Amino acid sequence: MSAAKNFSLPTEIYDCESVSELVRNSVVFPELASFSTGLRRLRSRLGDEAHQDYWRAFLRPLFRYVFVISSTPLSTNNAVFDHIGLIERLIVHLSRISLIYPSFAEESHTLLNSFRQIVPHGLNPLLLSIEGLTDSDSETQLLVHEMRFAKQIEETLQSRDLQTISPVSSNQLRGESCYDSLIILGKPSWYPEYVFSAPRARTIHVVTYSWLSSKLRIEPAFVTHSREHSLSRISEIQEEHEDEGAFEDELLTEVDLDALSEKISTGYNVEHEYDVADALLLSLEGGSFVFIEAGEKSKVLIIDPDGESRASSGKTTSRVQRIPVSYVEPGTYVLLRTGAGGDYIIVLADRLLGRNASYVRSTQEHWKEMLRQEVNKRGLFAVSVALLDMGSIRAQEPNLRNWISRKNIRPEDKRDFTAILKLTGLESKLDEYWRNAQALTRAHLRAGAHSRRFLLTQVAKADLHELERAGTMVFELPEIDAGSMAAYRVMSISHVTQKVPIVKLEQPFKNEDELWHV
Amino acid sequence: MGVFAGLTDHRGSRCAVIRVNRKSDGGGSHLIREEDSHRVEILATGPIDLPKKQAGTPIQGMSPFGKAFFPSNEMQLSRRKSKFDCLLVGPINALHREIEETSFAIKRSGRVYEGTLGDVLRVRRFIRRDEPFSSDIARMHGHSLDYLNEDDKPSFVLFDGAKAFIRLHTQTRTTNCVVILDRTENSFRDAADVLNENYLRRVSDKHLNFTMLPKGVEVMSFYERC
Repeated sequence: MSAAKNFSLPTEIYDCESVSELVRNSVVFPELASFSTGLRRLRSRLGDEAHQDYWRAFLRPLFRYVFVISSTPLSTNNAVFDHIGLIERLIVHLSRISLIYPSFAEESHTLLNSFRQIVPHGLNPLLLSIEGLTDSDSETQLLVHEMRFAKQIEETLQSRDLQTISPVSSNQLRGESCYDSLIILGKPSWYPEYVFSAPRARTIHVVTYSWLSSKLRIEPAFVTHSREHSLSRISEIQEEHEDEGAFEDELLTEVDLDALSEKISTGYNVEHEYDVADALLLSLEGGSFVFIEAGEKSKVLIIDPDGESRASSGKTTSRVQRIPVSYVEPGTYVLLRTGAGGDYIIVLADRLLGRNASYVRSTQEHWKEMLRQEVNKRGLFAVSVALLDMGSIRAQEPNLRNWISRKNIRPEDKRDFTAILKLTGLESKLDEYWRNAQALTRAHLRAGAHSRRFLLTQVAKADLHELERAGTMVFELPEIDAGSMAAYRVMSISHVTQKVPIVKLEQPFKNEDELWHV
Repeated sequence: MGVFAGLTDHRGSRCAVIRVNRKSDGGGSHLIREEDSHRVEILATGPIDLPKKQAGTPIQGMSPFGKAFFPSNEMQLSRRKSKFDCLLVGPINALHREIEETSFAIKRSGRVYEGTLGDVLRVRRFIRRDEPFSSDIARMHGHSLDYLNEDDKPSFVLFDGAKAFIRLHTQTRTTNCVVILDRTENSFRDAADVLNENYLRRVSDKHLNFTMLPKGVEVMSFYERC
């Protein structure tokens, strides 16, 4: 891209904003409307009971189904819903309802029956509406709320010869492209505000089922808002028609990450207090979650799509960086190991240590195991005090926990190391063990630098537009025995840290309870 | 370093002769045209002995685009010495692209001069260490702006984006600030809330008159207590 072209793009964006218009399309689907009303009524009657596990397990998949059907052009019986399996599970779930919640039994069975009637017919009113909006001469984008459905959506569009419509993520609507036409399915409030307040399309078609509100409210950013300060054309139009009543959004329920992280972390079986670390839970694009260590000095590997495809220089920074965990925020692309290749840093470091690797590692494991035994016997606090008495300068409990951990190689200061070896009766081996620990540190540093260089080469070759579109991307790393790594866009971050076993950190996982099976 | 060795005519231009090597070693000289005379700085002390061979690199003059942007001699001269006018805080790679790689042009006396914002901003991070700078960049992922002390404080700080502002604004309370927010940023509303709170505690309003504000751009300006 030429430099001159760069500057014309922002101009195009402002031009786009000045002409952009919103067109509303209301679509009728009486069966889904009736089912949705029934769902809301049941939840309302249940009150706080709706938050009980029993009702969550019943209501959540049904609400999710209505949400996905209302925000994608997928037919009611698309394979992604696994509706046969879902219906079977819900039948089993309701099998004892007459005994547990007799007053809600009939209503729940009626709901399930209406669901069973909607699903098999493969209805797809939103897709029919979209067909009427396309024009073979213009470029049309379809905003997809969850990119994990992108493949099924593309297949559906192709089946109706609608290849001119391209699915895009809301992330792609931050950039420098201005499209002719953008189709948005469902309620405007399900999508980020900037889709409307900083539009990237000349025409935005909002296609909504008639029983959902298509109202839009965009407040000015600044309290000083006056006629001098302008909002986008769409924002101004909407302000004139906006009513003041708040509209509860019942279908798009955000995952409560704090509650989820507490639930998961309390379920972990932790044998020793030194095996855990304070961690934050991240929700990732594609429906996965991951715990990352949240210590003051903790860092995480990320991809910065704006970065240079070479190592960081004094002027700019590289595409692959290690940043403090406190700087991770929604939209950051974290890099996590996903393959079965084991800890590649250890593999690489061992290769650098050559035939000394097993000897160096055994001496390392020896003093750590002895220290662990001391802690198991006397407790963290007593060992911490004993080490300080023996000349250690940093034997506070968090540091002691680090020294025991296999993730940490050695204390930085030899006085701490000396105290440990004194306490564990290994003082006679001080020089030998310290030398080995230093060799191990050097090998790990070199291995880390090597793997980052290799990773950077892979990332430099990758099409990062695809990462920005899909929100996830896998990088195969066969040359360093690391299996694969995957970049994930962070969707949200828990506010509260939880104690999580170290072995569970940076391991992406799915949670069926929260995201249902689609 | 060199010594003034008189004036001469070269290809129709009057030039100052600056000798940089001893006469006995060949007496190498630079011819400096009148319009480039600001590239010569007069030493406060002297006289000096010329070395056998000069090391180092010549001082880069202002680019034609920079000269067109700062048309008066006073303005050009004032930029011969480093002066910390502005600290930019934001995503360094994006700023590098915008400042060093995006072309701008300016028209003066019927002639178009092409250059980059870097010619005007002279960002310390992006230029050679010995060149005079007017601004610098703090990385958004840097830990703090603690290094900004009273002796090395910019005239104003420009935050490029909500992330940079939220992360580091508390460290620039006594400095003039310009904050640029992008509606598409995740933390756009959070940053606007911080600015709104500051506005509600303002000392007075500051009216700025923008004549060509594009559609969709909101502006707020005010004085706050240090």
